[in-house]
Amino acid sequence: MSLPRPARTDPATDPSLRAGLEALAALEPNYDAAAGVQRFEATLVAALRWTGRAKLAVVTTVAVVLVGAAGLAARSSARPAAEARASASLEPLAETAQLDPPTPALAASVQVVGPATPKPPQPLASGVADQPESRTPAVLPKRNPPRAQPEVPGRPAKSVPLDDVLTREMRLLNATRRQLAEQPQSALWAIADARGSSSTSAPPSGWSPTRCSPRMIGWSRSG
Amino acid sequence: MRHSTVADVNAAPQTSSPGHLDAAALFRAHGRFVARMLHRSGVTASDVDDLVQDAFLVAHRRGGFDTGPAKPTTWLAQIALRIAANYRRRRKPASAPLEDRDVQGGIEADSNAPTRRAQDALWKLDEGKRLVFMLFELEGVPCDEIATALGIPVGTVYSRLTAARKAFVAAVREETTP
Repeated sequence: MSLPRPARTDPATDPSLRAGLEALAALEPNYDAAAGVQRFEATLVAALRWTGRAKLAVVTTVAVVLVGAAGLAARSSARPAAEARASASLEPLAETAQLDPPTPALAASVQVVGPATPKPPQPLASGVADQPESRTPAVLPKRNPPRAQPEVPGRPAKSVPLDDVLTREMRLLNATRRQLAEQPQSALWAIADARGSSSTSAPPSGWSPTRCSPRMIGWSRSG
Repeated sequence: MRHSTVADVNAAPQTSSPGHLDAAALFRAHGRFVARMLHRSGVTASDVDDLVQDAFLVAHRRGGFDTGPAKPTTWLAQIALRIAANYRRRRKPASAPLEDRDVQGGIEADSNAPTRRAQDALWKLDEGKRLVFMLFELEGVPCDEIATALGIPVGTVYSRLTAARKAFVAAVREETTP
């Protein structure tokens, strides 16, 4: 196999091929290579300069973002610490605000007077009409309205929750009744001494230790 | 016309070794060769400068040329022909036909019809045949050197050259026949 010769130098070349090749070979652009090299190098320098600025901008942006993130992290970590300090400073107050648990006798009397499970409020009995209102939540859960129960006179409402003051008064009242039943004279004198502001050293006229009514010693159910 | 961006330029690795030619060195040595390849491929004289810049920016992005058995002209010719192909694809056929009148060196020269027909026939060849045809017939590059540069057997270069000649003649005759 002979090596191929360029068609332009081969006499056996087709005329149309030769003409086309001659036409293409005649195209020689008037190209300024030196100016092209300068432009190319200027492009590279500008690109490198832009790259340097871009890198600087990227580094600056990253630094700003990191500083901001660190600031946010420090702020978020300082907030729980402050809340912990605040809660620690409030703990002594909470401890002092705790009420002493009721004594067993008092608890027993409370159990007698009021039920353990709260019930819907009922009309107060006549005997405890002056008792302070029970603390009920401002917003009650949606329930069916309780039926109105018939009022029983002389019977204390068991559903009324009693606070400490009322419990203490009831206990004093029970103790006074027991003492009055056992030692009526000394009990009456003791009551009179306890209510010294209203009572006098001498018993009121018409007073008899054996026939004593609570009204005579100034006692009423309202306490 | 689309030109290479800064990102394209910066993507190139900066290497320098004794057997290595960077893009600037290639430009100084073979700038005119690339311009000639582009212009013969149908790029107008007014666009040759920009496309030469693009070609060497591609060379820069590829990291330059390592000297070896192949010559840099073959490698640059491949780049130039691909840029010329993109250039022809971007040009709308109706609005931008190949120039009938071209300005070369400040002198307006009549571009004859045989040149335009030859360029059209050139672009009717497929890419592999076009490259072999232009390198051998117009630039005088030997077949074995083309084979080395393209990484193909010499016989393949011969067969491509023969097929390219036949296709070129057929295309020129087709263009000539009304």
